[in-house]
Amino acid sequence: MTYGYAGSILRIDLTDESVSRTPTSEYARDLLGGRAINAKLMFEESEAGVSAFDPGNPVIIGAGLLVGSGVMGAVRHEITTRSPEQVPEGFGNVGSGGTFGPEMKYAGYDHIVIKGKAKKPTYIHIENDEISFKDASALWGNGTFETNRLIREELGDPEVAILAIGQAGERLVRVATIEHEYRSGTALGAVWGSKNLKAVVVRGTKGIKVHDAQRILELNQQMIRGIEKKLKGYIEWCKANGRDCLPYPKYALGMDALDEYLVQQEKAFTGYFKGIEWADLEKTRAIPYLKKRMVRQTGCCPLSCIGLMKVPGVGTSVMRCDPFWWPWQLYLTDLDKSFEATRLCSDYGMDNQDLVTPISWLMQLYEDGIITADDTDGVPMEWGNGDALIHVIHSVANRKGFGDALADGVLTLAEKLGPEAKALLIHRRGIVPNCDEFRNQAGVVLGTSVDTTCGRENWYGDVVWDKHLKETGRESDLEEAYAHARKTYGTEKAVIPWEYEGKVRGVMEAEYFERISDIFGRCFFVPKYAGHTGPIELDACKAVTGIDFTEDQLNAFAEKALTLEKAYNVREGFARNDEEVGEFWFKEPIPDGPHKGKVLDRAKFEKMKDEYYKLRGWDTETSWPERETYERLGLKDVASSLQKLGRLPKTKKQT
Amino acid sequence: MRNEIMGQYFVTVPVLCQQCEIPMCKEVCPTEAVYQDSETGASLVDEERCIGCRMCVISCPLGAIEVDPVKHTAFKCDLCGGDPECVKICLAEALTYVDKDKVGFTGRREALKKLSDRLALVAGLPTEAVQNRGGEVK
Repeated sequence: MTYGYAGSILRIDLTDESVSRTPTSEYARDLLGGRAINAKLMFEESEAGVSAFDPGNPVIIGAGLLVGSGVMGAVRHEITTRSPEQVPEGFGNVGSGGTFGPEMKYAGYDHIVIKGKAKKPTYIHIENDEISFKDASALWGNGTFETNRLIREELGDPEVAILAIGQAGERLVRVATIEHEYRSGTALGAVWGSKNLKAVVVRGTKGIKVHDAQRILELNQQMIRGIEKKLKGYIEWCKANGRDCLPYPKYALGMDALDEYLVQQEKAFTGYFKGIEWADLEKTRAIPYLKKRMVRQTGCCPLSCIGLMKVPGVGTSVMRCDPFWWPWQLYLTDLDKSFEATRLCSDYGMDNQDLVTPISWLMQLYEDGIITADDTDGVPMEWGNGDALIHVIHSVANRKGFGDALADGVLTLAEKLGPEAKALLIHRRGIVPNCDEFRNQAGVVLGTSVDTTCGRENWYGDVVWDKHLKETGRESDLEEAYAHARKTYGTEKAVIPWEYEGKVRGVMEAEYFERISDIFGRCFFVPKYAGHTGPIELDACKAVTGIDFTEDQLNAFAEKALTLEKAYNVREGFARNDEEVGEFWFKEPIPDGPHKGKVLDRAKFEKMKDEYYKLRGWDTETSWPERETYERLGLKDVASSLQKLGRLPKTKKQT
Repeated sequence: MRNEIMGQYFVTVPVLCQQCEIPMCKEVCPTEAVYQDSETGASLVDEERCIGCRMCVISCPLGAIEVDPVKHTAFKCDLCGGDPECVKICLAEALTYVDKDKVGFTGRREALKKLSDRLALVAGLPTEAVQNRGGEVK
């Protein structure tokens, strides 16, 4: 297996600045690549109970199998480490697109494992075979924008790909992220801060061998034509509905769809988990704002999903996914403040979603009179107060005033503010949800609760919103979806969001889909927008590696990745009661809108979970995978090491 | 080619081989590996002859020729034999493939389009882009 792989796994120890390399082929045969190998390395390289800030906690950066091959959208790297944000800490994984994945493969590495702790602030510079540990004392204390600039200047190479943390990561703020060219995601940045690791910089010039370059070009053409078709459809839809679409239609396509979807389907909240009805909602819609502020679209494939904006007096940056929903959660009508806040988050290196819900919570507490302005350094947490938003971001990133407690996690702040405040906090293992509605989506709830990375939401998307389709005159799509559901899941309830039946299979499919994308390092928006599903992945894999996989084989790799992630959490002592979404969703019905009154049913939910565990081959009582499941997936060594710790379910004979 | 400065604008511009009439890469090649295609006018590299000395890489003013790290021979834009892949894949239509004789004509056409759009804005009429999107003039 030489095609597609860069060839080696790089191991770096920051404590003694040593470096070693092993061939990727040791893992590639069993696990293919990307997230699956990451999960295996994570399990092997760490010991049970090692905390996130311990030097023994490894950081694993892995580029997917197709990355660097030229397949459109195959640009993603995955970073795996123990999440400092979860309470208790568990498996953490974050992926992003950009240039880092391809560059590390061109430098010759499929995976990079970083362990230990540097004595002083350090950044790692990888240029093909040369690995150097550079002094980052001058970079320490700088935001990610400035850090990027300084590193490029110091190395005299503008082409390097940089992963860096900002001030938040340095100060071990739990919601700190690892930033890469405006991209971030799940908060793992504090782990880097604990290692005195400011950045990892990579530049490679070696290239990747592929099996059939001509075929890759053909596939790219196919995808481009698919996207073109979708775009035309969107523009026509805009015309037909009298809507003005952006001069950046690709970006608009995404934003418009999201915006519409969330509002029309009542999939979003306003305020602190209140209903969808808010008088000023129209003032905060994405498209008019984008028209005013967006200057160009950019990204790492022709979809160009990053909209670059410029706001006078604030600067240039991007709106990362959620800031269009911030205003809803904070009753904020000044979208420029929202932009300013997200720009600060990019610069400090913090996750948006992890901050906005706590701020919304503080505003609710303020309204209820549980806290006063004195609890938040004299800044009143009034609804719609943009300055309060900015204040919280500064104080968390710099650990100033009350922000110090919030920097240690929202639960720490809740403890400090007292039991009344804590009672109002909706969270799951210390992670707050964003403004996505759960109560009318049984599939998403199941997917979220069993997610190995304690993600905010599962990408369970195989549902149809009948109201939306009927309103837009697409009843035929509805019938098609029902037919598809009957065929695939045996019941059309599987695609009706709030029904519980037939959902388990769909969740499993979604988990496979996500992991296959991450194993290949391929953005899953590309096949979605290009109108392709499974087969194009197989074709792309064939073109790059020359190996013909079947869909079932790919699913098996995805299952291995999932089981390894699960095994990590099992080793840390997680059990069934840790796989929850929170009591709130079962108690409070949706207050208004088309889905008014819907609430989750505990008994049906637990039944659904039982079914899920059974289908996965996991014990229903503890949620731990059975020995046979590990053995079926060729993970005997994992089963043995878990047995030593007593983390295998009891065999049926004993019970 | 990307010139990226985070927190500020950044520019992404394709820098391509200009297929010079008197190509420097051809002039400096010690083994005469670079030759010009009679049909498309593209400068091409004969991989059999190329010894990977990088003389062409050094002398090209645009950096439009490189040495393949795997094959160790020079490679450059060959216009894909007259049907460039980059044009087919450029959704933004930033790249187009036009006949050499029509470059000037195409340029004038573009300039005219911009001018008419500006006049339309002044007169309060829909621009071509707005017309295409079916939008209203505000």
